[in-house]
Amino acid sequence: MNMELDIVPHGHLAERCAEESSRRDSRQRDDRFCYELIRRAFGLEDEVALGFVFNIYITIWSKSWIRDTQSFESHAVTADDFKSITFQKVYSQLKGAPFSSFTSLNAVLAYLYKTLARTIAEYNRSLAARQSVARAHPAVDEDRPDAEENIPSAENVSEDAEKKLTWEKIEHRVYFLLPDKNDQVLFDCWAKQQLSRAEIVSEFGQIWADENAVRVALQRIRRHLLKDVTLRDLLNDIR
Amino acid sequence: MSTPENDNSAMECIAPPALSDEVLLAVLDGDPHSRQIDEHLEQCAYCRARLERMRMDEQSLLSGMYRVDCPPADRLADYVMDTLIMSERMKIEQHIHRCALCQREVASLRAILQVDDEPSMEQSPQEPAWEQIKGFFRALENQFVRVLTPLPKPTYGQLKGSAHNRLLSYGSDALSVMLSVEKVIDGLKINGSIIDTEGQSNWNEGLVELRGIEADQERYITVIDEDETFTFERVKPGSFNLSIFATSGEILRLQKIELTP
Repeated sequence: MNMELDIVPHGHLAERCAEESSRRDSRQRDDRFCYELIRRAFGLEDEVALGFVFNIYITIWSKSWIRDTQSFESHAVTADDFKSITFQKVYSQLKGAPFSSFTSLNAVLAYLYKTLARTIAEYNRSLAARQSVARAHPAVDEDRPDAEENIPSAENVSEDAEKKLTWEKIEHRVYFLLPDKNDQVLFDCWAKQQLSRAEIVSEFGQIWADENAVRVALQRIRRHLLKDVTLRDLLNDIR
Repeated sequence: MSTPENDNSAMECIAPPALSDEVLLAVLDGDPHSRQIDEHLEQCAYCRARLERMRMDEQSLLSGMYRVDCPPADRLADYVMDTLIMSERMKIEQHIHRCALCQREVASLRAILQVDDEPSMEQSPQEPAWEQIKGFFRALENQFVRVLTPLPKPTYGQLKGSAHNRLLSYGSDALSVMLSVEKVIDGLKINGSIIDTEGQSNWNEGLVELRGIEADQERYITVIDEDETFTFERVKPGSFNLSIFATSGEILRLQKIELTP
């Protein structure tokens, strides 16, 4: 820690941090002011410093991290929310002693940015999953196990491992039953990616020329799979 | 597949021939089919049981297989941010090549994130385990954003120094937020309290953000205390949206709050 900066008031540090952060040429930036402010906010859990850091994070640091804020307009969670959520999570993770392992401004910013990217990625994934379930089985959406229930805990780790093993057996059985490469591709599209017939045609038009060809091929492999007693027993076991 | 050998309730079709598997799959897919098929299914417990068995088997298969090979979303984000070691990067690249869903996610992340502008991605020492905050994202999956609406009569509760201050109260179901607005020398002091009678969310150490409705207005943040209260000091009067981010991932919104003395 810099002994001189240690006694500089929060407001002055914030002004200098904002000024330095706004420099176009990163080689001319002096990160000491920002780092000291972050150290107080995260390391010392000083709420006034935290407020200053948050405002600089929103207005300067993260300003260019999200290119297309319009993408979020139709979502319940906005681009600004993602930034706030990210800040809260990073604060929650780094506050107090853990902050000491972050020895530069760049390390903190990199972690913030990475967390933001992961936050958005997780959100995208969950939206895609919801859309897929809603499309495949509109009537059973509410029957789908709540995501919260799937959080691994010490109690259900062995049960999860057992399930994972059964799923691996199911997958092996499916590929055993479908030795043809195209059938395997179609199974992946249908079960693993849950693409619509139109999407399958768009991805693999050279194999299935139209939606009817996909429908016919899919019916054939589904009939074949569900006739297999071993596969049905495995599916029964996992329910 | 669809012969319900173990189904004792109905061993025979009431009007043979029984519906074929092809027909049952068409029904399952919602494809066009004749009214006679629906009528047959209404009357025939045997064919109905076969259809139900087929539905259950397929649902199990689909729920278990969905994205079973895909890298976790956070790994995909790391791939886009180019922070993976080469071997993992190559593994993910191979997967993306054959997975339409991951291709879309990568394209979407690249469209959203300004990857070229990122701070240099040096590995942070002792980076906190990502798994620890997964629960938060799982809650986000539910898009758990609750908008609290103004309550007609503010309830007096745990607010600090609320006797002579302006009180605002917002709620939804078993959850309410009370705000006490106090005029101080250099602005307003806002004390807030979260009352969650169901107690399902973890509010302690969550973040509260006051976001001005006008673009040039200041933003304020504060951290929620152990007793689920929070305080903003020196807030300039104006119209705000208030968002509360629980550590469990839930987001509460109080919209268009007029903060005046």
